[in-house]
Parts: sequence; C-alpha cells; structure tokens
Amino acid sequence: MDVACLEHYLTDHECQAFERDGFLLIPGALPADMTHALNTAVDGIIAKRAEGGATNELKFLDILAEDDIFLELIDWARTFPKVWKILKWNIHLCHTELRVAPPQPKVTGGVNRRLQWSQEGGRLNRELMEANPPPRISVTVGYFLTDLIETGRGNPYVVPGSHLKRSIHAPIDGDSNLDDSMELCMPAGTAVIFDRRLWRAHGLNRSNTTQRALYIGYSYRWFHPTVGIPASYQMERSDPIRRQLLGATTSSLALTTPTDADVPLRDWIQTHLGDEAIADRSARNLT
Amino acid sequence: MNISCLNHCMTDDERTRFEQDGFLVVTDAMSPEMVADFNEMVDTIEPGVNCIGKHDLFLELIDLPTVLPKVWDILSWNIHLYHTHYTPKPPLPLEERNEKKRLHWHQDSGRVTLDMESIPAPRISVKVGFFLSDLSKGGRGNFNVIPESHLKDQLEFPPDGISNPEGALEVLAAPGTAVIFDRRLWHDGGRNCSDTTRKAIFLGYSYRWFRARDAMAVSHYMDRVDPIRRQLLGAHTGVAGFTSPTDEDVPLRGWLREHLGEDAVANM
Repeated sequence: MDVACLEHYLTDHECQAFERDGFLLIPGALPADMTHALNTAVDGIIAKRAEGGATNELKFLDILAEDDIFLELIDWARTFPKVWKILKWNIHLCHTELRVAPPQPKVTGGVNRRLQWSQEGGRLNRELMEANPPPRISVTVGYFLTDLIETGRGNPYVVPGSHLKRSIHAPIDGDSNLDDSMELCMPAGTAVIFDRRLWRAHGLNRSNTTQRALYIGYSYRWFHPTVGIPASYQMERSDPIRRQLLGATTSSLALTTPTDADVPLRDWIQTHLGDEAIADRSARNLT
Repeated sequence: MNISCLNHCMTDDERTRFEQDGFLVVTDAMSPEMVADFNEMVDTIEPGVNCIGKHDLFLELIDLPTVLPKVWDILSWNIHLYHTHYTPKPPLPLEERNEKKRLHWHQDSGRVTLDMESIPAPRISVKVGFFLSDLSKGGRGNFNVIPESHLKDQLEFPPDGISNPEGALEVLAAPGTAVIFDRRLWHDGGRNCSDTTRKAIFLGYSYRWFRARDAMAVSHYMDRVDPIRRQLLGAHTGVAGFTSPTDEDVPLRGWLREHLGEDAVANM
C-alpha cells in the first residue's frame, strides 16, 4: 500500500460529518480513466451473467473474481484510509456487489410509491438493540460509475442521522418517503461511504441511461462475510494487507485475538502514523 | 427436541437476575447419571478448545433441555455454537496455595468489545459452564464472577496489585450445575486449592453472524443429527443466511413457532 494514500486520511471535518450524518461523499474518488476501466469490466459481467443484457434492475454479488480490476478497489487510496480510520485495523471485506439500474418504465397516472428503505445487516438491526445506539460493525463504500448530477436518475436516497436512531418514522400515507430523506447527486467517479445502520434506498431511474454502482463492504474480521472465498490466485498475488482484507487468517481464534501476521494493516498504520493511531480507546484485559 | 424442554424457559425472575447480574446459576442442569458419564468421558479426550467434536456425548449437551431454552430466551433463535472447551484445572502445588494473588479477570471474545464503539458493548454471545466436579465449597477452582460487571467495559482494580476487585464472588456449584454467563461478565476460573482436579465444560453460543472462535471440527456429526443440532453446530445454506436466515438455516425458529406461536418468534 502506497504511503501516499495518507493524503486521503479522514480529516477531522470529514469524521464529524460522517459521525453526524452516517455517510460521506468523496468527490473524485475515481479518476476518469479508472471509472472508464471499471465500466468496461462491468460490461463484461453483464455480458457474462445477465442473460439478454441489462434490461431489468440487476444485482450481482461476489464480484471480485470477475475481474482483477475490482481488487484495486479494496484498498483504493482515496477511500480506504477513511475506512480504516472509521473501523480501525481489525477488518476484512464482508460484501461486494454490482448494481445495474436501467431506465424504469414510465409510470402512468403520476403515482409515486415509497422507495424500498432499509438498513444493512438484516438481523443485526434487531440483535444489537440492547446497545444504544447499536454499534456500527460495518461500512459500505459505493462507487458510482455513471453521472448522477441530476435527480431522478437512480440516485441513492438517505436519511441523514438515521444511523443513530432506534426507530424511523414512515408517513402514514404509505407512499411518501421517510421524513427528512434526501437524494444524493454527484458526478461519475464519486464514492460514498455509508454507515451500515443508515436508512437508505435506491431511487428510481427516470433517465434514459443505465446507472451502475459498485459496493465494497468492510467489517470487523469476526463478522461473517456475505461474500464467498476469493479466487486462490487472487489471494496468492495480493500483498499482505489485501490478503487480510480478502479474509486470510492464521486461525479461527485470530479473528477475535489477532496476531501480527493476521493484521498487517495494524503494522502498516503503526509504521506510518505511530502507536496512537492503532491504540484502542482503553487498555483492557483480553482473552 | 422434546417439547418438555419448554418447562425450562426463563422465568421472569431468572431473566431479571440474568440481566442484572450478568449470569444465572442453573442447579441440577445435568442428571447425576449424565455427570458420571461425562466425568468418565472427559478423561478420555485431550483437554482444550474445540472439544465438541471429540465425543458423541457432547451432542447431548448442546441442546440440553434444562439450558438451551434459557439460551434462546436470551439470544433468540438465530444462534449457533461459536466456541467450546473442556478445561480441567488441577490442584495448585501446596506451596502456591497460600499465595495472595489476583485472579486473571477477563471478558470473553478477545477484541470484540474493543472493536465496537458502543458503551457498554452489546452482548452478542453467552457461555454456559457445566461443572462436573463438586464445587459446593469454595477454593476448588470455582467459577469466579463480579456480578453486574457485564455492563462495565473497564474494571477498576485495587492499587495493591494483588486483591480482587470489589464485589468478586465464588460461585458454589454441586456437580451437574450449569452457569450461563454473559460474554461481557468479568470472570475467571479461580484457584484450585483442593486435592482433586476441577472438571468443567464450556459451550459458547452466539448469533450466527459471529464467526467461530475455534475450528468447530464437527462435520462428522452433520449427517446423523437432527436439524436443530445441525443449526447449533454451524450448518447454513449460504453466506447471506447468517444475517438474513431462511427457514432451512434456522429450524429452531420453526420449532419455536410451532410450539410457542408466531408472536414469540417475531419478538425474538
């Protein structure tokens, strides 16, 4: 991992915004040539996995093995330092996904239906409720490969601050979106880091262009990933930090009690930012 | 699983005590015959972690009717075993028995509490200690706890470096007693100043999305156990099912729905 990535370390201002809002926009996360290359790789997945092409909204999970370019995203210099500032160093990938949203058929009669709002993590949202607020556990970085500068193009919707709320209010009319929701607008190449707990939805695509986004999820190493085992050749050709992110571990015990060999990211951060950057909020007895 | 196990669901009083103290003592959890069988069996296996796959007798323990209903009452039906260990504790050498020494107080599961930002951290797992030896008197390697400490992420120790924290107590337990304790409870195995080895088996139950802390070498059981035992041993249909389980992933949910009704399942 190139030390130059530290230029993209989460700033205090970004940290405050993320803690407050539950998401963070990173404009220009992908330069134009990388966005283009990723779009080409996405074309390959659609050709291979979507019968008849992308005519309906499609979701492809577990995409890393589809093209080596996706490996470049897992420790992407402009986003990854922000991820490990948020979750610290005991992390791995828990989710990868490509989402393709073709233009929606025209709705007749002007009907506006409520979007499909959700938090990530399924049962986590119930099983961690004795903590107030429940812990974050994971974040997902969305990379938007097509322009979403205008509204109504399949943009993501979020309810800022909803990651810290124990419940969310949905208007009783059944059709209106959640109170205080907002649509995110951004050019292609923007990344958004989402807190797992944030209430969010995919907007309807009323444009004439198919929208594409890649999602890379990171969690603590003791949380079971929703991705499969990476291709062995990808593991072999990756550097130690990528291997950590891809799920390498010396033992089951090491998921919760890691050795240095399990978490080379910790060593890298310590080398470049010092002991304080890897310190826990308090020293405790552990077993 | 026999329906009579529902007689052992948590009472309101037990729930209140567990939530308040962080542990619950279940007397006579194992019958005297079962204790005798286990005492004999554990002498034939290698002590240590990942004990569950080492003898078929362990299968009787994982869904023990006197204990499992209390575990699902605490954690819900989305559970599996994440860690098991057989931990004998031999007598201390005579010269060490009068030594004043602080116990090794700890919470379970390594970095889990440190990784999460919530204060206090959530429970995520419980462990059940099954005591095979007679620990009805203290000083025999009894389970030591600090009641109510499960809600404290940090523990204050006396400055003398050797005394135990205020409130520490030894749990007295006749053979066959089980102790269900919250992962976050500060505890330790205690010093064995008796002349016999303390024998205890520990089974850890967690939500299914929490990864096993040992190798859980149990594949040889899977073809010959019932669906609920398979769930507890870690069977799953796919990786998405850890957080969004199907009926096939969690037969325990189906069993509870059948015997306790939809509301009971929905509220877990």
